[in-house]
Amino acid sequence: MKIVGSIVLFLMVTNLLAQNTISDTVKINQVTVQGAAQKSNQERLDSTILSDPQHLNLGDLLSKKSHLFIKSYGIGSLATISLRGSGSAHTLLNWNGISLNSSMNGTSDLALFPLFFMDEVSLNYGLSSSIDGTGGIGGSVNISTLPQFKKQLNLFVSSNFGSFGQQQLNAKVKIGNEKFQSITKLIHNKADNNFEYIDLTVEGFPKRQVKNANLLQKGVMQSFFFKLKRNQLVEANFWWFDSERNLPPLIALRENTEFQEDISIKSLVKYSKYFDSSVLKLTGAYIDDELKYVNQRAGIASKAQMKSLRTRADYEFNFKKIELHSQLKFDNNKVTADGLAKEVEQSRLEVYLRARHSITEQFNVNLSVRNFQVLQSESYLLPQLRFDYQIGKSNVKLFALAGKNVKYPNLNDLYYQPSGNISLNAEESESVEFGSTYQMDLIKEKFYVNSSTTLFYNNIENYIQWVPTAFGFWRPNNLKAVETMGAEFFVEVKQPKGKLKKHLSATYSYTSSKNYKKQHEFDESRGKQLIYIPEHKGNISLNLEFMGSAFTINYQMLGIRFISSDNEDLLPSYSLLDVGLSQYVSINRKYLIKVTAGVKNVLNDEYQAIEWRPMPNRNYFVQLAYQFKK
Amino acid sequence: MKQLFYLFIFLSIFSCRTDDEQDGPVIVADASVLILNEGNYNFGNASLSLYNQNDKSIDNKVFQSNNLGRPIGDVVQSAVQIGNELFVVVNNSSKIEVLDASTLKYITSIQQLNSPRYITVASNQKAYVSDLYENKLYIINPSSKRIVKTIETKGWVEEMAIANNKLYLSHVDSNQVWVVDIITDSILKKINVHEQPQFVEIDKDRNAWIACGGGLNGGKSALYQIQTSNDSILSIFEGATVDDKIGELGLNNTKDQLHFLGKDGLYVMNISDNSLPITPKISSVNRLFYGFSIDPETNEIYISDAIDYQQRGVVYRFNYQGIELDAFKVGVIPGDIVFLK
Repeated sequence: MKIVGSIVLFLMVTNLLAQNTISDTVKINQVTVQGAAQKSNQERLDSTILSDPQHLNLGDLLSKKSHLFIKSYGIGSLATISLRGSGSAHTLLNWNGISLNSSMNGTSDLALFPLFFMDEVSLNYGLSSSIDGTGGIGGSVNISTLPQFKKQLNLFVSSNFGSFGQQQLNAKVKIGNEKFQSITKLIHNKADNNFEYIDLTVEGFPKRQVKNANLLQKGVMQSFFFKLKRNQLVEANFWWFDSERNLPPLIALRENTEFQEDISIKSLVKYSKYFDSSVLKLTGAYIDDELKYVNQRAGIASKAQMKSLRTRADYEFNFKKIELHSQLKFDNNKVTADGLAKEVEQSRLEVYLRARHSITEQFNVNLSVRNFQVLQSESYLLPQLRFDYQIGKSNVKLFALAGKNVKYPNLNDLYYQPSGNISLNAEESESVEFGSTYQMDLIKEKFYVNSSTTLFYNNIENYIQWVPTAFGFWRPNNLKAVETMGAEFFVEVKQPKGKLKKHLSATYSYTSSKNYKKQHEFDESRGKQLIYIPEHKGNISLNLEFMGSAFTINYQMLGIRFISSDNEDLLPSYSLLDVGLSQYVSINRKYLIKVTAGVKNVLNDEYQAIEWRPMPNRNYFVQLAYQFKK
Repeated sequence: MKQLFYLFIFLSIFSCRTDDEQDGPVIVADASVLILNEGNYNFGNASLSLYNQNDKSIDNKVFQSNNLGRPIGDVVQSAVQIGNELFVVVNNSSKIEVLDASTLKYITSIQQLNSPRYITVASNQKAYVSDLYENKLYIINPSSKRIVKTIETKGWVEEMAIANNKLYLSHVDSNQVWVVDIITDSILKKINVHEQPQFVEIDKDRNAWIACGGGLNGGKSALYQIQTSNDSILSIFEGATVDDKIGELGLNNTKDQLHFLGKDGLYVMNISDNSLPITPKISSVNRLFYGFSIDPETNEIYISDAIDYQQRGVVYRFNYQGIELDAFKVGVIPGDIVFLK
């Protein structure tokens, strides 16, 4: 009786399938390895990294270059984020400062966010995410579109071919001058994802091929940037993305036609005015997401429509020696779906004020407070305090911060029929973080070392979990209380100049994420790691460039993940080695042709990121890119 | 050798246990009880646990132990023993695994089902299999392990039971109980009941009891008593409030006391009672009862509890008076409990 409604629930909590996109920026004059910029508990991944075709998609990129754990259901499948041991709805995905998380289930499926649409990806770990709003208990991923105001005509086309029928075609046109810029991006992506695996669930252990995993994704992004005056900027962004994905069944399940289409239309306008000592930014976005789901076996054809108006106004100014940042946010979300009896609506209002004061040149203090109000419902006051200290004249910086955050239940949690639970409490977190960053020139302006270390602690009350009932439906409850703590390390050594440029970077994170609420006399989940949260995650990558050639090697390690809350069952650890080689040829500094080839999972490891979801063995890709620049 | 090689791959790559697994196959003793651990939908972590009533020992993952390490599939829903063969319905794997009941080793499987739920046995040559999605009732031959016929149902069918040569099936989508002639397989009657009929039992007087969950739109639960000699409704017992749910049903071995899962535990009533019981026979305070079965030999009551649905569940054993005898940990989301003959 107990699986009734669980297909729909499964969809709700796991939108599916990832695309494979390639970013494009190919530097003509000189290729500088900038890589990941690390600033205390923040991280920035620039276009140099985004453009590496080794990264199939945003999830692939983030799992290699950050402390994020990406819960991937397979190549071309769902990819959700877990940061600092939190759940998939606890990380915000922001686009130019506006949250793109689903108002229905609170998550963001990274499959629906092509890397090619992004000029920069930055991460705010933990409390530092609250600069953009509430809900990012784990942190936030911020994707941006950035203009370069100069006279230019820049055409870029790339095509990528890989194993399992992967074909990607990307095109970009950048045109403009010192006052106006237009960026147009087009993507077309298809893949069969029909790799082979050994089926260990049936007698005889036959080799099988993944079926019903093909995808087709198309997208257009258009951005306009106008400098109205020297100190005023208006930008308008439009995003259309249509993703059609067949959903492969679990290993050994009966073949089925299960299909999901996500059509997303996002519009964002932003006005910025820079005064002598202050900045005003007004941002408004309208997001229209449609999800269609068909399950032939279950006879389901359902549809959900999510419409959101999301706005924010930021004003940064100085008052005496205090830097102030004020913010007002208003979001209105409406959802109509087959799982909801009627259209449901929720509006949220947030007011934020931050004051930053430099007590000395080396020591400054940040105090912020955010008031989060769900209209006609609860409100929450969320303070945060941060200290930054630079040790003497050294390059060692220390920081400490503490504060609160809240994640309000999603519309499905509250209103899903028949089991939405309107008496759910919001998930509330209290966090502290300590960290340091260190920068050193081993050889002045030639050879650098950067490193950062962060320790964090987070207590999440009222952790929401959906569970089945004995009466045929699932229901969300505030079942758990979760304590997460851990450490994040990052180090890079780079030599960005000279004939042979080198960049070596390594990340490691330890994450303890444990439930400490015993619900039941036989509950053995207390004190145990949450399911699918790895304690250990690490990555080492090396990039070498010489005379237009580049070699990249990336080694990713993921520790065991428990798959039962009493930690009796687990998935073993695994590691993945990827290599890539590229060569570009520049003609008159106007034309550039670049060829990149690579091998993923070089060691041909068999592994599962999610139990009974096969992952591909060794596979290959080649990318051809052409750029014209005037 | 090849299978051992794959077993090695299996153990090194796929899911593991943190404690030591028992080496080699598990011996199925007399008086064994099989607990069907549904596992999480789409997790592929269903399993079987074997409880030995004599020495009170429990072997979890007995299917894997006795079948070269392979898992049983996704969502084990129900099972019946026919002779010395055990037919285990693996719902989301669309199959029925047929096992030797004395060794729990694989004999064969019945594939090409859609989303099978329950089996009701008419004879050694005929059994009915209900299905969630297929819009049909399968008729299988337990001897040949083949699907021999189907009956159009145009909707989801749950539990079934046989009395007076008639099959009483709970037709969830239409909120009806259908009566089928098991000789001709023709539909004799459709009886309207409350929303979400799911569970069916036949008492000593050959009356059928049907539990209706009340549906997914906030309706009340109800219990129907149907006289199978003429298929008329004898009684309707409605829950006092929407929260007074009536779930799984079970009868004692003399089939004169009906038990059901409700909001505060396991309730019992005499089949001649005129109202629903108010207080539970076994309270579920601080527990989450999920399924139950009554031992047809001893009348002992076994109740499964899924705890948080993400860890190994627990089964409590009570005597018929409702006094707890012991409890043991089983697999993830224990549901149905089968007493091997």
